[in-house]
Amino acid sequence: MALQLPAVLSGSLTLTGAPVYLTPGRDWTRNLQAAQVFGASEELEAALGWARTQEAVVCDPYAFSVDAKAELPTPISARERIRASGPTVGLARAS
Amino acid sequence: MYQYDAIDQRIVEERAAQFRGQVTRRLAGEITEDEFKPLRLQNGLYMQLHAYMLRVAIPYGLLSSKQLRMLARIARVYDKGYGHLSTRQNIQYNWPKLEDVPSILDDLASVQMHAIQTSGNCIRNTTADAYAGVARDEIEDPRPWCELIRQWSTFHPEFAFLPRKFKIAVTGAPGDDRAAVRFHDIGLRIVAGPEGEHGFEVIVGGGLGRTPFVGKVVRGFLPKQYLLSYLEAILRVYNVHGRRDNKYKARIKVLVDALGVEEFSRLVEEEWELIRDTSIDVTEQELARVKAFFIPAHYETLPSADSKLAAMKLGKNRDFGLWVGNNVTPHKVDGYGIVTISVKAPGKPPGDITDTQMEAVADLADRFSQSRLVVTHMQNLVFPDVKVSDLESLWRELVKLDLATANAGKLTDMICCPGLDYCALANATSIPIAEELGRHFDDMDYLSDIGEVSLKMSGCINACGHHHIGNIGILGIDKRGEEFYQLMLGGSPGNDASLGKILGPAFAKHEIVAAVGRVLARYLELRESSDERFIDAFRRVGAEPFKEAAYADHQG
Repeated sequence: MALQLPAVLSGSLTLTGAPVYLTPGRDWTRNLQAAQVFGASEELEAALGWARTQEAVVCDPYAFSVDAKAELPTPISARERIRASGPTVGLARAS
Repeated sequence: MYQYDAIDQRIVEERAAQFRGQVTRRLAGEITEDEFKPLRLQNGLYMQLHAYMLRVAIPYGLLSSKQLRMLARIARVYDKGYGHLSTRQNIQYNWPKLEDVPSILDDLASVQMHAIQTSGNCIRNTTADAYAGVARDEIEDPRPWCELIRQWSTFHPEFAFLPRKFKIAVTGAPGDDRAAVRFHDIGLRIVAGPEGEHGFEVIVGGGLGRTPFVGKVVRGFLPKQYLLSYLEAILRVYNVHGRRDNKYKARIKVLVDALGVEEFSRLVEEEWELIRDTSIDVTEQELARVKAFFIPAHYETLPSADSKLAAMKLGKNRDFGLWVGNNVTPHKVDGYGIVTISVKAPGKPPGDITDTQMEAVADLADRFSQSRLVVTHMQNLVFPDVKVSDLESLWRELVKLDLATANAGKLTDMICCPGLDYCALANATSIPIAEELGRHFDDMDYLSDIGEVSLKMSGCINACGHHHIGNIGILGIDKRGEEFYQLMLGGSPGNDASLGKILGPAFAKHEIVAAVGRVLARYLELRESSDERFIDAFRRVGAEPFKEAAYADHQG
């Protein structure tokens, strides 16, 4: 299925595997709300190309769709919502 | 317990050192992720939703208390204080940092453990009946054969890059399949031949995932000495004819289905004729060599405790009685019992165990089970050798650890995959549903009343939670970004193997637990007696009455 815009660009930190998001300043953040929202495919493709050169820091970059109506970046899929906020269940130690 | 020899030890130590070099180069940017990925996967290191995940091999599920203490230490030092028991009798850590993984592998090697063959398109960790070696209905201990398979398959150059992953399971109890052998790429049942001699029934092409199949018997009786040459023949046919062009059609089950079992068997037999009676076959001497690396259990001469066990079930302490009734299985040696430690406490993630629980269980294994235990494919632990006279003391200690839930074999003894809370492949969460089911059905009287019924749940079609072979199966799916759950009925993993069928439209997340409740209520209404199991009632009346009940309050 083709990616629907707007979209956010994400990847996993090479050191820990933690999800990170590309910011408007071409930096990576753990905070989805600070991510750049791409509305144009050319701009997204260029950013994805740049992200692929950063794999010493961040690997497997990809884009996912966000809600066009939301003020802050809000993933459409349950997968990306959980990826951004962490497991929905308590860790065994804490539960 | 299997004890490493010098070669085993050297292999795991060198492998850990090799991976340290690979990680160092990856972190220095000297190798790319594409180059690194196959290397990390060969050491059980996956990239999941929130972090790396390290899967540690526990061959045929057998662990010493010393090894369990090391697993606890790894959970505490390098992870977030817990591990997850998997359906391949392994353990997974959900939060390791890449730079720490070489040290974890060093720690594992120090207790004769590793993460080899827990990922990639190779022959994976061979699984076995969790009651192997102690079950009354067993005709031969399958673990020396599992170990032979491990030694044959580890780093076998011909089978390092198979079309897809490859899973083998072995049982020595022909009357009761507790290892789901019919749902493996190869399932092996030790059976008695016409003269009473033991051999293998060889089952090929079983599996779950997006294309589930019950395995087919390729050879009804294989003399034991030919096991490895016959396995090699099967793997060779698969390597040549298995599809490498389509990941979703690459498992051997698809090949067996496409060729037909007769043609597949013919190809295997043809290949086998070329390699049988060669050095690969297992001599009595070689089998004895492998058996000698297993430290035998030592049993006292005790009177039969069957009547004592029966009395415990009906004793004054009702909680203890329930636990004995559900979690203790008769042992082959008089005076001993096999104890299932349920890692399925109500409202907790199935199969998750903390570092403190692991350490305490290791201490209990030293006190009560000859320092050994087994990880089961049901995501529980087993103490194989507990004196019946020690059962109450053990139970009291397990109660303190929240590991005395008396639900082994009951509805809430669920298999559940990590689902979308952890897994990069999942479409829906599964642990929250399992937790809710655990809380909802936390009445032991009710669980006892509904009797033997299995529930298995997966967060995607890959079926790590074995949903096709639960009497009740739940499959999480994604519908336009929202989680929904399909209900399946009629699956069974054992000698009466069958695949469940989808009942109807998927349920919303808030509906699925109630739907399971309505299905169970209908079962209680229509069963002929309390002895008629859920699966038997389902097979007798078919899906329709259950469908009617399940969708009674469905929102659509």
